[in-house]
Amino acid sequence: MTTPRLSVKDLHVQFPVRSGHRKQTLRAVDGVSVDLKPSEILGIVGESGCGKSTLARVIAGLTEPAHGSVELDGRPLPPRRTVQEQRAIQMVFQDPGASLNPRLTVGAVLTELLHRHGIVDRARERERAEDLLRRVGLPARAYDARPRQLSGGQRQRVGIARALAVEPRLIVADEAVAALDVSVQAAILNLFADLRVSLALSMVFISHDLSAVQAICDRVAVMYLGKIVEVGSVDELFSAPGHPYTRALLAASPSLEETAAVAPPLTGEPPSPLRVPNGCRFHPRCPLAVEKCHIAEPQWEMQGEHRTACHRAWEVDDVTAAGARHPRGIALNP
Amino acid sequence: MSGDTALEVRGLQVSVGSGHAVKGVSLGVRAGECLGIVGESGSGKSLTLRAVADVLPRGVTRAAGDVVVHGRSAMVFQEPMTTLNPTMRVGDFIAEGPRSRGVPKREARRRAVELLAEVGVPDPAVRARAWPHQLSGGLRQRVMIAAALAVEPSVLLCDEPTTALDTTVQAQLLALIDRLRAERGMAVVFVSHNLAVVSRVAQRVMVMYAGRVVEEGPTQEVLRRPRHPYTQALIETIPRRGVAAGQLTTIQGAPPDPSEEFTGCAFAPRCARAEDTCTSLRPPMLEAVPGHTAGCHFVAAPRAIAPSKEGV
Repeated sequence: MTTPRLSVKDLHVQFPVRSGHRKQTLRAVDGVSVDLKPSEILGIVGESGCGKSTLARVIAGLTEPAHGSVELDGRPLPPRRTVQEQRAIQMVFQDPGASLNPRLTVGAVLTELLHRHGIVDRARERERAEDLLRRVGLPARAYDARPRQLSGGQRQRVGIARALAVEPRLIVADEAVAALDVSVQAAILNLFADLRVSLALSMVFISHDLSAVQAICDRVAVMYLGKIVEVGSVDELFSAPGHPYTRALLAASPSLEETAAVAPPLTGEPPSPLRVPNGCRFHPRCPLAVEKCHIAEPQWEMQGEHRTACHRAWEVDDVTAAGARHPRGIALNP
Repeated sequence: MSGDTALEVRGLQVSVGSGHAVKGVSLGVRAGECLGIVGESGSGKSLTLRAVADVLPRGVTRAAGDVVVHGRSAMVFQEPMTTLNPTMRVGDFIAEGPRSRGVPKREARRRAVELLAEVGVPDPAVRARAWPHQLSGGLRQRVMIAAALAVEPSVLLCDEPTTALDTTVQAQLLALIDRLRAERGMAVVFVSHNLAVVSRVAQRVMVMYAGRVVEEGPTQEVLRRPRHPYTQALIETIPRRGVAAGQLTTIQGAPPDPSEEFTGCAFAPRCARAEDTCTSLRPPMLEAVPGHTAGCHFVAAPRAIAPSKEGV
């Protein structure tokens, strides 16, 4: 078996929270382990507050974990990383406008990075920056543009060029297409797919948009309240979801198939990570919950590479079956 | 569903600076009906809705057109936190509507609790005493809907009300809006950039591009047999099962500047089937089948939409 590109082991992230006089601990990531093969794209999905963005920041070295490790190509990365270690994992953010300095030209942003990391010498910086722009589908004249002169889609391409500039071994994209118009989203997803082939890019793709995940990812991990509750290949997970939460997410995800408003599959909202329920953390909202779900935390149930942490994995009830029955996608020719 | 007309808009133009961002929009919504308006940023969909509600941003004005609301209208915005008053308990905020119409304070408060119950807020009497910051995004949006209902509107105007929410909460709110429409016989106008979201609540849909309506018809009819090349492209760009990234359809080029004027069709520069006529002559809205219109010279000969790989 090849060494995974990325290996996250039993990761815990906690934030101290003060509400009034009470000090509490928010367990944002609560024991996450997951692997990523070279040139694989792993999707991470879940509701807001599930810890997916915190996980992204830990992988990228922007947040320190309380416990657990992040390994790149079999080598553990320390919580505080050197410049070289930082370089190996790069992030692409949701809002390309907010993550670019409005005063700097695109060329200045890229050449500064190339220089700081000593990637090419001064004489070849411009050539290299223009290469990067071409690679992400921007014209060479974007070199002299400032962010405000670019559209949202073009700014996101600059964000991707900036991540690629330092030749990372892994890209972490956090809601990288969420702020873009649908037609632009498709173009950026196509770009990621091209880069994966041309650069053998490995990527963690964090998103709340299941249709984008379905299009770009090889495997998906579903997070709920700081834990991964299901992992599997895109095909397996979307066609035979094992966890009732995954089925509910699939049913709630808007697709063009529905003819009328369907009954909401999940009642209530995600509980606060300050008050994680006992037993299975999903049980208060679960249509399948039985007594042991209130008491015992579920262990992994396996179907090959597809794992689900649920006492009633792959049991389907009437309420959430809608998610499994509606294979997501459009049948436009009836 | 065939109620009386609740909202009529004719020839609406909205000016931004020297140009027009909405270039002559007409629409009608009947009581008990939901009209979806779909478009990308800069299409003029939100400005159309805001012109109807008379809440245009500063510097943006209604330059022409008639808006007739039969009864009252109320609006629900994307960001409830910016509309809710942070210094008011949510029950008092909702009670402001009835209070402004002369309902006594106690009666208005009782009404606020009833409305919170109607929009599915658990423990409405307790929640009425909460401050906005104590509520989740989904609950805040329910409070906004309750506040909108407090003025007894005949027309509910929704501007991307679920865009900032999780899909699970979004599904709940879409079901709520659909239920309120049916129970109260309200007309609803629902603006969104997301065709799939609109298809869950709207019986009819209007697609906007560059300040104009380019297609309108029954939602399922428009989704299954889109007549305008822009609508077709919008549908095809949505990732769907069996189409991997790398093969997703994209639309060439970028939308025009909202205030740009065109002699022909605004979509022609990006349209795969554009001919000379398209750049010289603006297509009128032509009826494809009764009730389904599109602003395209080739409406009579629609290109078959590329079937999904599993579809055939």
